[in-house]
Amino acid sequence: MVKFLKSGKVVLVLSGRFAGRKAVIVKNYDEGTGSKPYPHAVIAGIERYPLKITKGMGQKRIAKRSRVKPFIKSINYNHILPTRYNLDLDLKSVVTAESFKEPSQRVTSKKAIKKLLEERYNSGKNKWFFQKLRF
Amino acid sequence: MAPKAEVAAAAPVVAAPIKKAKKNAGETINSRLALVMKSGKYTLGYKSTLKTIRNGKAKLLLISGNCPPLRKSELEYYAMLSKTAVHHYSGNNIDLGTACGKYFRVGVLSIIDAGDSDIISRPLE
Repeated sequence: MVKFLKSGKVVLVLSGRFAGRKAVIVKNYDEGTGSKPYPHAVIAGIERYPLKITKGMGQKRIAKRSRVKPFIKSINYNHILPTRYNLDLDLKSVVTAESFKEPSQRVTSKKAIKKLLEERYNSGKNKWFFQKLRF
Repeated sequence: MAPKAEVAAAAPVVAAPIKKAKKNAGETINSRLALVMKSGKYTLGYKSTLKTIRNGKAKLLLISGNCPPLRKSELEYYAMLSKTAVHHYSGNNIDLGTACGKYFRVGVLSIIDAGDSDIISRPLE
């Protein structure tokens, strides 16, 4: 009744290299496109979650352990599981159709996402998103 | 004479409502489904129902009784996200398939358009 696969939705990746990782939908294509004639979404997710930090750790150690390695992917709806969570992060300007054309553009996109995600992690919001899903 | 008549009058009054309620609930879901099969739009099977939920077309989900619990929970979660009603059919996938008039088992089905049936507008429970 209500379409829920929209940008900002947090999803779990179900298959592929990033299976089990959490990601956020950047742009969704319910009807598919010319080159991808199936419903799919462009997602940005976490490839390597930040490590656990405790009170007793020093600043440098905390900084090292709070790093996030992101990934971007264009993925079929069948391979994601939507959750009830949302992550409002303006990634539309960062991840575009252009990003997937050249590997170097992928790298620049990912660098930008890394910064945004680390900022969000350090602010303490959306904690669930940055915790590894245990299964 | 009088007590006998009273007893005779009392017994059917007590029995009838119970029997009628059960008969109503059990029969009407099947009869409504039959009407949907005839006049409405539906989709059978797990993969296709997920598709209909994702694009917002599903109005009602019917899940059979012996659907694996993980799949049942997944469908309920999807339905919660899309605000779609779910009905847990009392009967297994064989019964649900028969109720749809099909000769195969149906574990999950999704109703897109009820046609002439009131299965969506008038929930049973």
